Amino acid sequence: MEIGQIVGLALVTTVMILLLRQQKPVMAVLVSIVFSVIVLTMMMSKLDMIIQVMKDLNQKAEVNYFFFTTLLKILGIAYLGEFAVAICQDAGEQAVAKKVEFAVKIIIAVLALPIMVAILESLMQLLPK
Amino acid sequence: MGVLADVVRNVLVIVIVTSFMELLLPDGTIKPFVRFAVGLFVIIAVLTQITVLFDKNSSLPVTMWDAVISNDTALSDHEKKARIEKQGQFINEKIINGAYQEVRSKMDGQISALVSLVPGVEEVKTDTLTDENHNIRAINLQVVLENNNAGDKSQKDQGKPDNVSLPPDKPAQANTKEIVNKIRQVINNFYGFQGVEVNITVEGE
Repeated sequence: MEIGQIVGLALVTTVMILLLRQQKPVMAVLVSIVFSVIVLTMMMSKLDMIIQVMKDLNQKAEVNYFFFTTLLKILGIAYLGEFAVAICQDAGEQAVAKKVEFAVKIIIAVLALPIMVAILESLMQLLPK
Repeated sequence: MGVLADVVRNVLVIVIVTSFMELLLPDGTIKPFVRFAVGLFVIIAVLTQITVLFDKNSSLPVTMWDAVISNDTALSDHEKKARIEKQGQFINEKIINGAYQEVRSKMDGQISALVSLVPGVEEVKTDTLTDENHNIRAINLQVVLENNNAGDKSQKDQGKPDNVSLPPDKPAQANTKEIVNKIRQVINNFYGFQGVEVNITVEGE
């Protein structure tokens, strides 16, 4: 059971961080990062399965692959950004966390831009002049 | 009705997929941004379905994005380039072969029309053979002469008995040879072929 492993690891990590935060706060942050990476790696295969199923469904619905991949990219960026923000906040670096958030928001907006333009142009063409 | 059912089914799948995606969204300040992108995706997916429903040949920007070259990211740039070139060559060959096929069929029709103008020819079937460079190598003609049928008809019309054996129709054979030569002459004069084999088969001979 992977959930058992994750819960166990989380408990151990939490205890370790609590202990380390008093004496070596830098090490506590490192442990937190390592835990995040481990969880992310463990979930990769599961995430791949979900994405595969969604891809299949998307193909059946005959939706453009470009839009779907853009959406997946946005989802990935959001996850990575949240991870980074959480780590920065754990380390007490609120300013850095805010910068990461800002960067993630801009990147998501840039990725969503072609979709938005396509929708607007299509609507302009569909509507009578 | 079937098309509408397809659209409804596809929209349903899109909605389910996006709902599932929303479940996967991370919490935090980024969530509204991602939800906005997901919303755009739903709109565009539904819009694409609707445009397809109304006009299959539509060239709206939402359908323009289909022109993605390849989804395979594992290939190197060189391999991608080679693949694109190969695909381009394939399309090019397809177009050229289609055009040559068209030209060949037109040429067959033209030769048939030309040969049918030769006196004594009733019907012609032409088959032009080309080599790999699409140069004409041989022309096969299947000719039906008027004389053969006319002769048969006249014999039947005159009510000649079947058991009467006629002498070999030498003048008719000579006439056939003359027509065949005339056909060759007409084709060579008209097209000026060099090194092209013209095979003429007279039916009923």
